[in-house]
Amino acid sequence: MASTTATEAATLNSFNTRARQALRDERLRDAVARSTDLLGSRRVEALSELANADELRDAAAAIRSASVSRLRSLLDEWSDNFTALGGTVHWARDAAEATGAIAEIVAASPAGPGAVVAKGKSMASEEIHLNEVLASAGADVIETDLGEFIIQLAGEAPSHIIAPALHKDRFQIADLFTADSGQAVSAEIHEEAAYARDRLRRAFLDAGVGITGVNFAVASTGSICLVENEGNGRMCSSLPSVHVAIMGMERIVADLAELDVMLNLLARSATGQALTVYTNLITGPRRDGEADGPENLHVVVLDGGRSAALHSQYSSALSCIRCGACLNVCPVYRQVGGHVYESVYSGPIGAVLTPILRPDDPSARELPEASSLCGACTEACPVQIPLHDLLLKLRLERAPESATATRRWGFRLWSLAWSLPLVRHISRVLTRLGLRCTRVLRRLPSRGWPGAWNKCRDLPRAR
Amino acid sequence: MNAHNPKSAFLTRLPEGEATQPPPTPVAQYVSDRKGTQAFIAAWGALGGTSQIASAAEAAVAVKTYSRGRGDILASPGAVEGLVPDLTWPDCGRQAAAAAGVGVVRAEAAAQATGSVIIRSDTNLGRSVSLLPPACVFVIDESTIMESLGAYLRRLSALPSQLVAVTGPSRSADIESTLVIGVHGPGEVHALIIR
Ligand code: SF4
Repeated sequence: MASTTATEAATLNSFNTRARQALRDERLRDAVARSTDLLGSRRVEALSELANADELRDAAAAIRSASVSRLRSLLDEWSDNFTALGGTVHWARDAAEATGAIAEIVAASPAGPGAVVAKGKSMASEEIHLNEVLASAGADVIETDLGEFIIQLAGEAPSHIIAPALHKDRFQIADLFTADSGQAVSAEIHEEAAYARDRLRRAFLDAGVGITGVNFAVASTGSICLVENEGNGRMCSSLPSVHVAIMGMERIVADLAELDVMLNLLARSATGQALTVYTNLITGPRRDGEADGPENLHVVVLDGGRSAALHSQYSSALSCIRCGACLNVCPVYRQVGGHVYESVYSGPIGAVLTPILRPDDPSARELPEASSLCGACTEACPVQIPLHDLLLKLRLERAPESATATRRWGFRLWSLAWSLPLVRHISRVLTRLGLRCTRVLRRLPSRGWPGAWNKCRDLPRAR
Repeated sequence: MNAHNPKSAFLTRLPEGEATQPPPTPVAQYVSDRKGTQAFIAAWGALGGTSQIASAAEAAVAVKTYSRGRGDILASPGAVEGLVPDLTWPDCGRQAAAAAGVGVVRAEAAAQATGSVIIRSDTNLGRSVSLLPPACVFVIDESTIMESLGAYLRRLSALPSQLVAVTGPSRSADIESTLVIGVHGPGEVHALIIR
């Protein structure tokens, strides 16, 4: 037990250290604040275009929780339909099975194990560290979403679910592009985008395999739906002769009416668009008589800790549609950005999902502490996941193991003392006195803990 | 079910799930009361798309006029009656298609609420035509402009291998949240509405 406490202490320290470091990075904080403000206000504006936004949100919540509770039958129905169309389903219980299946698909593709692999944005692929596995098998994997391409060049992880390079400014990006091309790329945003367009266009045309994520699978039609703004998802799913889509097993709806409800909220909540530029609905590989499209279509369905979560009190977290709205409104995320979470998923949903999907990882279990429990996330969530409730439950679960002996005894004594009227009275008198002293505290120089405390807190008035 | 079947091994670990009432699926309602072609043009225009209304007889000329100065015209056979494109998909091959200036495709429908154009891989004979060139003309029958993508989807019984709702020009805000148009897909999109 003593050793657990020691590691716990070490990791707690490391989250705080990372957060403190991020707080000192002015450039990062500016970038995160600007982007999250923009995304947040656009979301509110976009939802106000709907006359029945609340009704849709209630329906979306009901649809997602119905899906999560009957995943078995929905996945069964979807995979039967998908297979009948000529698609291949791979059932992956964990990261190793998923990456193994995809490495085999690449190796068996016409271009072989050394294929150029054009990859669209996929959080599930980040979860399983797909790029490393494919690269070590000899494939040339290239991220084609502009933000993902930038962080791939930087060797970093995404810092926001929908805006992965939100923490980088154009000067840093110009340096990365210059190093990549061997020629000077100026720090002008349009020039940077033009560079990426040309560079990635070659990759699309050369790619033997395209890999994308999945926003929703549709059980009744055997389809997968993929939403995106740049067109790279369309390229990855249209040009190479093999298309592999990776989906978290919970990303499924029953039919097209349910899909419609979800689509009405997803882009609005994510970027404030009514719909993303491309809503791709893919139903099987290329058919006879069609001029293009992949001949082979694979979907890898990933469990990766989700089925365990289904049986827990946290199953509602699987309703998440990865819109990122909860990140944009979170006072913690907005100050420190995504990297301090050291997880694919950051912000409130990251603080919930990470410990659920990685139950054996002590550094994941401390993430629920990174919340002020203000509830802004719950309010923003289009599928009404009670995020701050789940955070509290996760903290509660961890409390017995994280409490030191001193803390345990302290609280025991405290509750004993307060059960005695006299002690309670004395403590109130002392509190009143103590609060008077805060006037003195306020005059202390703004160094050290009293200063830091005073800067952002007001004590209650004593009666 | 076979225990060694990976699918059943995967699915048996998931809870059975009680049969519940199917959840409600309300249709989105919009605050704006604009309807029809003008609503579509306004929404499409707000996203950065251009548009024009023409008769069927004028369509080929309209495409030619739009394409002037934009490079070669790439179209699938019969996309627009009377139009002789510079390149015909798929005969021209992918490299040539990638070098074309304007792709021309026939849309299946359009959605006024969001300014979306719906294209299908079966009717367009090619996904690449509307994807590779930097500009794209969508030929839309005015009678197919409907309320929303949802209205279209809910009416479908069978789906083609690929159905795409295109809502404006390709865009990205991945660098400093600054909007960039035309990142991978077409940056110029033109709706040619046939009356
Ligand atoms: S938890 Fe809700 S708000 Fe956060 S990303 Fe998921 S769906 Fe969006």
